[in-house]
Amino acid sequence: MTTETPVRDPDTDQDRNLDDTWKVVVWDDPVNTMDYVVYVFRSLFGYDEVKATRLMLEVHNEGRSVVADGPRERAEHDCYRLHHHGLWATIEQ
Amino acid sequence: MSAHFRLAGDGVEVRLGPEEVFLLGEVTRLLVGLGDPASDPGAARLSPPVYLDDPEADAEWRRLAGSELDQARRADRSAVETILETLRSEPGSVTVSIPEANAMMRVFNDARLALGARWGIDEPEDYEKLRPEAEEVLSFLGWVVSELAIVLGGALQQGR
Repeated sequence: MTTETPVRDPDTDQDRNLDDTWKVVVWDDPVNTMDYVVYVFRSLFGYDEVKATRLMLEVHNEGRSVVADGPRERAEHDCYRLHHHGLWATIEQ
Repeated sequence: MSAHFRLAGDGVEVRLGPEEVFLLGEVTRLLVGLGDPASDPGAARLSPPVYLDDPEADAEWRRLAGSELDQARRADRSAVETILETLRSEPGSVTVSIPEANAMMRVFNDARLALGARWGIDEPEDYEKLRPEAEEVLSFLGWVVSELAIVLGGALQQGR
């Protein structure tokens, strides 16, 4: 399990509206394998195999899926961890 | 293809032949030499935008997280290079920790993503346009990554 955390800048974080909920979106790509994506969702978010597989299939069939949400800082951290695992993740409100 | 990885004690036993070690070493080195994301699709694939509609927020995120991500990837590659070096000097198998197995999985997946992007895989149909040797490399890496994901999924199941 990875524990890396992006470096934070407290000054800019204060300007952000941390009460807002941000969505972490994973986009479909033709190279990541299904087994790999399911493992990453389980490993990073602690989802069980059923939920991780449902999200993976949503990415595959719909082109994207909201895999997590929360305050901006947490959404960015999740995005960082997904990028570290090669998944194509973005953040939106 | 025979199994390359299995859970063994507190870690993962890695069993790779000399040709496999050679190929995995080559693709790991390829990641060191990635170019500018503006001109290298492989590099661009590994540093995608986070905020699609807000270039300013995206630039800020890159400033905060970019070097951290580079550093994490360097640490992953370093772990992989050590494992491959062990297999070169003592061919056969080696047992690695769960975090090391995760690092292997990420590095070989990154290599697969970078190669796929450089070789123009944008749609599933694009695989048909690949040269047979290129298709063989992507298939092998895909097999290795999936095998590691399944073995590490088993470790998660056991609460490790």
